[in-house]
Amino acid sequence: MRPRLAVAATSAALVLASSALAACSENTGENGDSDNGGGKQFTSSIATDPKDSQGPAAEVPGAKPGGALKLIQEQDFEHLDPQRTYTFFGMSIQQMFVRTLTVFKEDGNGNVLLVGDLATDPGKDVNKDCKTWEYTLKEGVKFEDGTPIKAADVAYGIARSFEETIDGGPTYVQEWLADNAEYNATYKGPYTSGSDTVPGLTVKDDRTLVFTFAKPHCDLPFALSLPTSVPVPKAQDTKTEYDRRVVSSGPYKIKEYVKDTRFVLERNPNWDPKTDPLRHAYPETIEVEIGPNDTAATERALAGQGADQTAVAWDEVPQALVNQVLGDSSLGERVVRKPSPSVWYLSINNERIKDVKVRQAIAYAIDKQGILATQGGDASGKLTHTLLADTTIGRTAYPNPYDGGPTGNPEKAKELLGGQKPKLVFMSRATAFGQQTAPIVEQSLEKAGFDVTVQYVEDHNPTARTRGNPYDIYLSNWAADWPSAVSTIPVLWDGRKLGPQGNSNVSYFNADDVNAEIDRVSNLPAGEAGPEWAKIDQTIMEKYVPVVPIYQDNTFLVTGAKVGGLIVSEQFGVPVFYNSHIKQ
Amino acid sequence: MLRFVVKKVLLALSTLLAVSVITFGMFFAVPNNPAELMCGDSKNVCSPERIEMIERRMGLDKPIPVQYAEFMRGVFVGRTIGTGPTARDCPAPCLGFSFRSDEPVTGIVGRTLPVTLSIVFGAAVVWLVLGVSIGMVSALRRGSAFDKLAVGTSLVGASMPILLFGPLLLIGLVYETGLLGYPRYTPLTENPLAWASAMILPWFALGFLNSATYARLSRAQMLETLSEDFVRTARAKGLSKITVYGRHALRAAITPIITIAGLDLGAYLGGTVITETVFGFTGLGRTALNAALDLDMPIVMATVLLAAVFVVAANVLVDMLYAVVDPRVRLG
Repeated sequence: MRPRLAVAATSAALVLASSALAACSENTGENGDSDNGGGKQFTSSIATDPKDSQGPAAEVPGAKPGGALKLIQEQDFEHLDPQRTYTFFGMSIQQMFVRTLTVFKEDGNGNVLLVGDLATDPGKDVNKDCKTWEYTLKEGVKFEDGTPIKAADVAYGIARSFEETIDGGPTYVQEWLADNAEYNATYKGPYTSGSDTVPGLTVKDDRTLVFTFAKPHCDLPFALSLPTSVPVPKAQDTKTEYDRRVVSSGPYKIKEYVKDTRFVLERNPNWDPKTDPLRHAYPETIEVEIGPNDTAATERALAGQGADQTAVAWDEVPQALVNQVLGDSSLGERVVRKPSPSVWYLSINNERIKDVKVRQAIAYAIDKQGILATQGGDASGKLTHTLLADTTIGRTAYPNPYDGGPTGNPEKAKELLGGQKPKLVFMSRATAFGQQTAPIVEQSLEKAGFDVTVQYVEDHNPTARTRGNPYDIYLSNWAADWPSAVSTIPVLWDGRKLGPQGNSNVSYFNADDVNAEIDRVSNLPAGEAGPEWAKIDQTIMEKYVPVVPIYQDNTFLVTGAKVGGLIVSEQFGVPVFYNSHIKQ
Repeated sequence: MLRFVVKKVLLALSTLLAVSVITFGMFFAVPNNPAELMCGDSKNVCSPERIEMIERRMGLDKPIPVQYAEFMRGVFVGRTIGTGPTARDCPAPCLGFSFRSDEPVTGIVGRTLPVTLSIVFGAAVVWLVLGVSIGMVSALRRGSAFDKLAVGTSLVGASMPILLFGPLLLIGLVYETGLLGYPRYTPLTENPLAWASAMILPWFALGFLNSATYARLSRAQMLETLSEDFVRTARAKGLSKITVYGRHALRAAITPIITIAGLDLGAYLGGTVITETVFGFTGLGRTALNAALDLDMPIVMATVLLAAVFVVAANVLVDMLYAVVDPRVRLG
């Protein structure tokens, strides 16, 4: 299963980009990472025309209703309660049975448009200061029992996300409303506070909801695409038990949920496709079969015996089957490969490794291809040297300033070190990933003259997030919550946000000029911010090298022969199913 | 007899108590804070206040001995976990709430234990019937073609791990030929036929591989018993072969097999993690493994305790069965 999404507390920023371009190309692994320009274009924008938010979604060519789509995954969802869901897989399946105020509409070819889902549009910035946002619900949106969805139901969903017991989900909206990272310090949710009214959130009438913030939050339309904004009918809120029985507002409703075994969705007769700009409900049912590991799931999808013809091996192709899948040209479109927004870095603790030349030497020395090879090679990811994933709005590739080639350049690193033999303590995960990657990191750095000590640590992430931790380098990854650099650059590289614990900026990077640039770009007008964030990316890497970007994950899976319309989301980096259909 | 039973049960209880203390202690001995783990992985702000909040809700803010005492009390009489508005009732047998999914551990055990029970009891029937029968016949027909074949096959079986045999069965019977469907667990009470058909592969895989050991053990025991004086005497008295072998020799030969079977059964009931993983079931073993990797202490504690209960109970049962099976054994 993919890691949980990391939460990003963002400062105000304008990301109403009309379009932005980024470049990426297939990694050949021959001459450094090849991400230096050219290749596929990725465009992303926020809808300005209300028609974009209207349903029904355009028909998928060749798609016919009927059949049973099967998704096979090894582990059950951590949560299905929308206000507690914060995993790629959870959010992906949730799109089929609950709706949010806004949603990313994707065509599978890199075109991404943020549109209104339950709302008539992506949001109205009332005073053009990003402090007051108004949302109007569409007419005809209903829960599975036919009850109309009202603004109060959306507000109630947000209110319950303040509860201590309803934890685990994204907290952007709560923090922005409370104007406090400790979002439930005052309002503690409807169960505890006895009130459904969240300060700053006003239910104007049955269809209108107003968000009022103390500070500007121009990314609200993006944040509301996360499941915090899923409506919950108060009368059917079973608190922590809601995790087991969620009331549907989307094209499917829950038919059966046997934990750790199966999760079955059937069509929701009270979903009106005319209100939905995104989803279809082609398959009769969608079943998530829980239990088989990635090898079994991939073997079944490849063999396609009986019902497995309509199966998706959701956990991705295991390393042992990579060559078999890539070598079988008859599989054609059944093989799905696409970059995900998750980037792996070798984080350098800048508070310990203060000499930029040492950091540059690390960047030259590191064997990126070797690290990637342990995780499945080119099929599983592509080498990179930029901070931003190529799925980010405005991200542009630039020449690698410290290009040691795919396997590293120890001679160049030695030259920079000038005869020194710096000691490095490398914290590695006490997991299969850690055991596979640590020897590669250790050997490539030692070849360059470093004296490396590897320490395997159980609670790797909390340790890395603690300021003053005793480690010099560690592998970390980041997947943005939405395809804007706002959910990466200010979160990972604004040193003013560093605290004693829970830091996302695990390289403890803090540079005044970069902080000033973050402030400047955060206040840029719509459409200009994307490329400016990309410039900050380049500046940070050229001037400071606080981390060494290693590779960007690929989504790589196979489907049964009868599965059609599968899209890999630019937002989640995992398959989404709103266009899926069963080939007759 | 009563004294024996009381002595055994007391010994079993003290073993379980020791296991519970060691498991609990080990969890807190490793350098991690469960509240930090819950907080730090997904939150940008994991402030000391937030950690405190989680600790309070999970009842982790109390001294470790108090937490242990409350955990054990909860198992027998239930308890309330946490304080204030977030306090939650956990009726007996309370095993706490999962750190990861926030689900009652009793529910998780209740859901996964039947899967493991289904696999283990079915497979045990296979390995005992198959293994003991082959072993006995081999011993009685020592040196015959059957004996040689059985010894050879059991050698292969005993040396092949289920990690290899299971996937081979899947490739041969499921992926390539489609003769069988991929196993999907259905509760016995819901649909006995679907339950049994889902279990065919794991029963056969685990049963066949384990039967090899039992065949070899049974053969050796039977051969040894057949050379005993009482067997010769029984034969000399003119008793039929069936009576001599079936009633006298088998009862004497089977005692060590019961010991091994009891221990095996107890150990397997604690979790058949590889079998469950190979065939895609989420049983107790797989749940325990995932919990250990996730440092999900309440689940680890529950599964370890349950495994210990099975092993200890199996031992007590085996000791008692000795007296029933082997007339030479007297309890006292």
